[in-house]
Amino acid sequence: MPGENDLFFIEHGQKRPHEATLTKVVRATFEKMGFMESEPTDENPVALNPLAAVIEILSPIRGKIFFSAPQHLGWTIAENLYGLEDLTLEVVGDMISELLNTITGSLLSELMPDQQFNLSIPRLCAAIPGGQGKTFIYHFNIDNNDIITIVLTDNDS
Amino acid sequence: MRILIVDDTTTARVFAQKCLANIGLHDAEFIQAVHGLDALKKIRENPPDLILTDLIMPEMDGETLLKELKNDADLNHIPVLVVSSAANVARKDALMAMGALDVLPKPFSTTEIYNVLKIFLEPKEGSDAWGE
Repeated sequence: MPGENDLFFIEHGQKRPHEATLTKVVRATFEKMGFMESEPTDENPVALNPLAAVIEILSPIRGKIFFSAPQHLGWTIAENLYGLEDLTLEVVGDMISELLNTITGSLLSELMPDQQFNLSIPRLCAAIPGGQGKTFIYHFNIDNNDIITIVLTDNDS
Repeated sequence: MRILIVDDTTTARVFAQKCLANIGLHDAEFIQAVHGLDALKKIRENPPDLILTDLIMPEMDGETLLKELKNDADLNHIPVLVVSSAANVARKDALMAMGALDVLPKPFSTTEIYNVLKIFLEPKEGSDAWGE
């Protein structure tokens, strides 16, 4: 019988559940907001000091989604979107939070079209988690140049 | 035309404003609010012609803002377009029943927002941009 955290357990045993849906929403988000292409990849990023953010899924399931991107990619997307080069780290952080918010809402809307869900306000964080709880890690290559990471986890800590 | 954009992130407000400018509303006066309470204050001071609001915001969310506006006889005529990544089918139905003009999921493109707002962009003969 499925548990309360269906999002994370329903495809238990798969290496990356919901990968096709996540790919669809990441593509749409980067295309419409960043004017960039994205493709899933098995490459592991080695970005130092990345920009990272987290959003909590509060109901009807519990979990967290993390997003991480290399610093320079964050600045590039923000410059594309704002049409300005003289941005601050605060603006770039705001943009990363909005990207994560958009990806998370779109993902849950696709996975749970008939259920209302509630999310926290996204916030910047120091790092994305490793493998605690039930954790799934996805990488996407942006414009064949940089790799972002998205982590779905049911770990509440 | 005065358009109020309500979103807690600067990025979303800038993005929405760019899309609106791209569909022919570049001459509009854009006002911004960072959450529902901020928006209500600005709306009561000087009501806009159109409101775009996010849903998930601190202080007051977009759903509560919509409720407040629809319960206010002086303000319930203002069209409210909800733009949110949390707007799935279930929530869209609820928001439309509450009186939202439409509900547009994020991320949206210029074409998608044009399709929702074109009724305001193509005035009928003998009427102003709002069909009045």
